Amino acid sequence: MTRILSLIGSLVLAVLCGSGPVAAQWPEPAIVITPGESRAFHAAVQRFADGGSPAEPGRADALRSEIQEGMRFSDVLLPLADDAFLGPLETTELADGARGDCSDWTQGGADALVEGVIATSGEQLVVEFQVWDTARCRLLEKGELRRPRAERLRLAKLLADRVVAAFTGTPGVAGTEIAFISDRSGAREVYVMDADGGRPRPATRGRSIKAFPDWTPDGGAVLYTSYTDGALPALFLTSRGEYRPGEILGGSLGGRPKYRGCFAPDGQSLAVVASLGGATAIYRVARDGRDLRRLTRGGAINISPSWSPDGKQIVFVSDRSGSPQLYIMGADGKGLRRLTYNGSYNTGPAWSPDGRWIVYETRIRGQFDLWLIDPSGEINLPIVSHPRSDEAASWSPDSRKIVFSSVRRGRADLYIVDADGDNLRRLTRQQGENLQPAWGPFAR
Amino acid sequence: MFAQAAVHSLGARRAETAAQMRSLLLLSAAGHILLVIALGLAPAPAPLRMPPVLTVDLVAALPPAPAPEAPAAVPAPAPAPKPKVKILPKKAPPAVVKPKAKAKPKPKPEPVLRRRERPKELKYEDALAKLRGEVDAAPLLAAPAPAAAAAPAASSGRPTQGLRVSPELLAWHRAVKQHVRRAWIMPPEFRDSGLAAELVIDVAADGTVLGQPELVASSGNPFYDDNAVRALVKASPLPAPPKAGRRTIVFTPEE
Repeated sequence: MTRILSLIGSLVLAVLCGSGPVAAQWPEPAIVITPGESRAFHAAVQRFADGGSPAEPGRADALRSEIQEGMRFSDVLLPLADDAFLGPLETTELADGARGDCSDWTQGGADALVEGVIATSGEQLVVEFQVWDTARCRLLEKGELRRPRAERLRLAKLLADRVVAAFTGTPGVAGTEIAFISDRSGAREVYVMDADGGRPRPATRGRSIKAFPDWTPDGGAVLYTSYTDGALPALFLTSRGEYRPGEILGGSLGGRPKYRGCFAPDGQSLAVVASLGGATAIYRVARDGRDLRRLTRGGAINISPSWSPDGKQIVFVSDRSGSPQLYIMGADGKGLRRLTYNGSYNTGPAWSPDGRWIVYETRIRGQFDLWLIDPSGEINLPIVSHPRSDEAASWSPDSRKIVFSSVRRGRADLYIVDADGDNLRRLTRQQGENLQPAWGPFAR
Repeated sequence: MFAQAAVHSLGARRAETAAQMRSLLLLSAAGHILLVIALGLAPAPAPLRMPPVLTVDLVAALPPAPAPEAPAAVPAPAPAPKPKVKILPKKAPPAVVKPKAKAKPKPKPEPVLRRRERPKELKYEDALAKLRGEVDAAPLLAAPAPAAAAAPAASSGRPTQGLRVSPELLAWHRAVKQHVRRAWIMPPEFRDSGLAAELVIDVAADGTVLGQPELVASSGNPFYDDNAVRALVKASPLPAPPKAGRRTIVFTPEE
């Protein structure tokens, strides 16, 4: 009996004391923030100090405007209006290590401050610049750019892209280029222009018809198909760097006609569309012509390959179901699956560089509109529609914009649009048809 | 003779057993009474410390529960009634076309009719916004997110009742959400990225964020983390809190 009472007493004591003198309190729950209205950052771009001796009149102002214009094009980091400047409009000297005026910039609405010095070294324009995160008062990037004096605009665009990269980790696209086909000179040639439509220039010259330009992943060359009288269509490179221009894969595929080539993201192999009897098949082949492998089987027409950014899959068009539809297969031809089921004519796929979306054309009332579909096929939605056709879409390297050709004004012109369908702009204003754009990689 | 002795012996044993039983019953009763008294006097047990909460939608937190009734004579609690779960009809996203994996491919009517009548919400951003709206409208208890399910139970000991948050604190949380959202610029590449960054800030009584926000759980992407820090610095001062102190803020691109 005594033992039992003793046990009960112990139990009571344990209950009273065992939980400790102060029980821990629940923490206040976390506050979860989700994105609101998507807006752009703002950057205060100062007029760079002109370190030339003597200073070149107007040069710093022109450079500033060009940098601001490049930032507007990328639409990620917008230039702060001059009347919102609470700090100096001009760089006097680059801040060294720390700065004490960050609150002036944040109160004016600037997320970033861009300051710099412009100078000349022989025939080179030299710009030193710094990008500051004003909210944290930290230096994000300090850099230098050099270009021939005549290429000030190019330098400004590259600088604008660097500022965007410093803030988001992804460069801007003001300095990128777009290859396309135009007959403005009479024949269908490959042209290259800046992504904002500036500086269009021919990249090929000749009597053959050119089609389907596609960049090498490093941006050093453009691959295209050439149709010459009396000869089968073949693949060629037009180069500005280390690539040797001229025909490629000439001896492979047994001399069959090659309708289109598309570099894999690693640049080491290509997907090539070639005919085989009555069918059109997609092959994979190394850049030097070795390791040829047929990826599609059967007697259907298989065209328009586009690589996933990791190089493991290819989206393409096939009529094996009776109508042109999008399919995805592994880079080895295995794991085939149909992607589109809406509409009776879907073609022209382009896989976004971030891998999230595939833009394609779908025919509606005899005209093509641009739609987006995710690689799983779960989400499928239109982004560009018009009573007249929009075709041949290609992604900007940051996956934020799409360039395409449209006959909405009567002749084929190139347009760009944000990936959500906003900010549609026309890029080409010259004579002739402008077709089949291919947006190049980030500028280097 | 043997039988008589056996009966006697059995009766004696019964009497002895009955006496022992009475004693034990008394002891047991005393023990129970003491236990009830002890439990009544004891402080609340220390709650389990849970891992940091990543997703808690305070909108769904219930108002304070009514005062508990007097303890019943029988200590065994009745099983808590299951909350009535209202199943909302699942709305399909407007522009989503789900392929039937095993369906025989057949030509489908051109989407032109739907296409031309397409309202603006078929755009990507709008579709996402609509999806978010559906998430907002969904009651937490009907479909708790995994993180929400892992949230600490209310101190009332009724886990199915959700978090108990004072109305002042709830209002402040809502105001802070709105306030910081305006300062947080989300580059499109971070949308649908699944990233989340957790920061701790020291909030003064007037809402000023004291010092720099402290990153306690990185998203793994330094630009995302920097952007969250930037948003909090820009958002300072926050609405004045009910009580100054350290607060945890989670930035996530998805609901």
